[in-house]
Amino acid sequence: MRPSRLLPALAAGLALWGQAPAPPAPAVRPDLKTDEGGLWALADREEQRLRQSPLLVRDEALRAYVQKLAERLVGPGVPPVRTYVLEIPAFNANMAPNGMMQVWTGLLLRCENEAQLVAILGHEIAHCTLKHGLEGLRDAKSRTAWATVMLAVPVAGPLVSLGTLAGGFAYSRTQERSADALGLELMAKAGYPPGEAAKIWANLAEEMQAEKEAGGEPAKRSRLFATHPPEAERQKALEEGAARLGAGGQDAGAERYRALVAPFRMAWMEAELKHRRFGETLALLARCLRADPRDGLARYFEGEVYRIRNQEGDAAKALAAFEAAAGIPGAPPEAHRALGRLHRKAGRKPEMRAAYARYLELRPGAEDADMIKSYLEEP
Amino acid sequence: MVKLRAFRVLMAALLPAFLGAQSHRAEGFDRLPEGAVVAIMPLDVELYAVTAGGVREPKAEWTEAARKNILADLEARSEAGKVTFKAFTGEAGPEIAELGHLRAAVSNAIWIHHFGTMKLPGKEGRLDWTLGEPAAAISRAMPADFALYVTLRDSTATGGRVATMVLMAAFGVAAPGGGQAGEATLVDLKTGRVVWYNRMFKATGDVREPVAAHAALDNLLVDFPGKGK
Amino acid sequence: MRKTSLAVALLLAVACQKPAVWMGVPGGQVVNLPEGLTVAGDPLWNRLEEHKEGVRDVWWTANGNALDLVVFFTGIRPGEVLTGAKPKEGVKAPVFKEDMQPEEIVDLFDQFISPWATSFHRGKLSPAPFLGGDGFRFEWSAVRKGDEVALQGVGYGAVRKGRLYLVTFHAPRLHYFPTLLPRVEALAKSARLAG
Repeated sequence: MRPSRLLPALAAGLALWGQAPAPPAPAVRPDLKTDEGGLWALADREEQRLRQSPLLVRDEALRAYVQKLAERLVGPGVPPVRTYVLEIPAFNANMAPNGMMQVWTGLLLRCENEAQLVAILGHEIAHCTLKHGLEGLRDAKSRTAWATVMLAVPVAGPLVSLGTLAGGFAYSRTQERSADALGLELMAKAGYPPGEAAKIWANLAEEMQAEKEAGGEPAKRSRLFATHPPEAERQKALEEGAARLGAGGQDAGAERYRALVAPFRMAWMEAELKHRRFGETLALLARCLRADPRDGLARYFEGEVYRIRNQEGDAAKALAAFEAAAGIPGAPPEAHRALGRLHRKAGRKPEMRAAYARYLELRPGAEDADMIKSYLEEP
Repeated sequence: MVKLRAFRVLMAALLPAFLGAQSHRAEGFDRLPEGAVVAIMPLDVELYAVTAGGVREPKAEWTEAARKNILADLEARSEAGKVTFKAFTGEAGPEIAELGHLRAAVSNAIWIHHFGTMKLPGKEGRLDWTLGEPAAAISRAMPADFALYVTLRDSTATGGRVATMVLMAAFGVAAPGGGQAGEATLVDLKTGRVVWYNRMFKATGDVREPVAAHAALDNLLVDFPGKGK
Repeated sequence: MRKTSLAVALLLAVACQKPAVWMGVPGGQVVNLPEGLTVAGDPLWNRLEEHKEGVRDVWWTANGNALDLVVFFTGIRPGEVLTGAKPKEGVKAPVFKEDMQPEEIVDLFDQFISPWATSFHRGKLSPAPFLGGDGFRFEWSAVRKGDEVALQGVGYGAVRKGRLYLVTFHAPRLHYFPTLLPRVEALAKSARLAG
């Protein structure tokens, strides 16, 4: 569907919601001579490199899970999807014209349930179904103002190209809206409650607001999200779209999703902390704790944010968070280590020894065990 | 105790000795040994069309043709009984991929610290870099004595534009108004040593045709060991 | 952002375009570094010449900064970032604090290189002699953002009179790290503080 035809429809009050777009032609490998062929070939080579990338999360269970979700959404006209989970702490996913789909861990960390992940996957698959990448190339060729977009594509550092090549171009707002519409349908058809799609944007808006209030600069979203309509507008449109679609499935798959990402959350949160966008991270953690007040990992990282931020009053907040975390079964043993450190600095020797001993008991093979033992041996 | 300053003065005196023409070959490496097999590693080649507005469009058909031309031309440089150039046929697993990343970093270091302005006095002007023992992964994947890595970017202006910017982006260095940029690295698989290296920029060039590809490779393989001058 | 030296810009850069002069390091002699730090010279290394007021990080390489890099962080004072510079007003840069424990100093280093490296994983952290007294040794691995080269790193550190001294080394984990590690260990072992 060309944006030119889509635009009047949108102007007429989002009449497209709930309507299936005309079925696109089935996916066949385009001729090498064509511009589409050029994009595919480039994406193919990028994919070869991606397969060997050190950033690829080599966990078969996780990959297979995301792959299965994506496969359920892909309809006719889209090449077979191949998903790659990359260890990059940013909110991003994208799908190249040849079917290569990337999902970054910063996004997985932020999804609350399977339905939200499916909403993102559906959205990216929709871009691919509607051939938005190709439209971008053609648009760029006809408008020289876009020159820089193209120049930014393939040969910069691999990480840059990983982010930019897959989609190829920043999508226009019109494209985003139509991808949202189709994505929502794909998600509902697969049996998920479409209302979850809007929540992603509500959550992102909340994090950005929190960051602004904390005096920081909200994350520059990846380029693919940069031209997306503002979160609030998007959220509203998705809510309306979901209402129009009526009740989809009722199971958002929160339990399933949490169980699956549990083994990775520690590493993903640590990577998240390095952004030093404390407002944003605190909002994310607060959301986790609202969903599950016994989320020991979220409580521990709350303490970490306060410890690293170290503003006035943060020391007490950090102590309280670490103490709370240490009392939650299944919380990271690092909560005890954090307490040990605070006690050591305050000269509370018995408390320090108890906390560090507990840490070593829970993590006997810890990489820093020798260091901790040296603290325990201090007079 | 020696003050570094004094040492610097000494080095400054010696420096001009390093500023002469830099060798493309490792010390003492003049010829490929008789019967050597050179594995041509998967070619890193991309061709683009650049429109008048500066939009760079990847041209799959051109890239395909260029790859075939370059590979065929390299293989044709084999000489019976003396040297054989053969496309790498082994499995390109993670080991080979990581070695490829290291090779790129090493090639870059040679460009910067050997040919460039940031010379390393400790190298005393020698082309003295290596991939080390891990290079043997290639000869484990396919019988070969050397590996040749070739990178080529070629932009053809479709609207009268010279694609200098594109090439600058490709290699991160100023291309003197060129439309073609290439790099080639020859590695001894027994030791991992880089025995020959070159990087070139050219204002014009087009490797879509075999004749032009041959000329581009002649240009790139300057001072290649065992090929005469 | 924060005041940085040229060297910082090169820390994990794949290629440095700005001109920089690398000088030889004499062998068999004691080499003076800023803040009274001395190490045994080794002609394997080249030292980046860069003199800037208040910047106290010194950079050595054998084969080029993208292939191996030793950085001495000398006498970092409380409130300074690792280069010895003070962050600008209102900038939340990670700074050294006198009461930091070794693992917090590793955090500081991790933060410091995070613009250039991703997938930072902490390895072994243990007490180790440094500067002729108590110190610590840490190991890490990461992936360089610019070219996806898998890196390995090691560092020695100690706090003396409220000031932080660190010697760090990183290189591609293939060939360069294991090959140069013994020379780096010798370098770290030779480090002393005058006065």
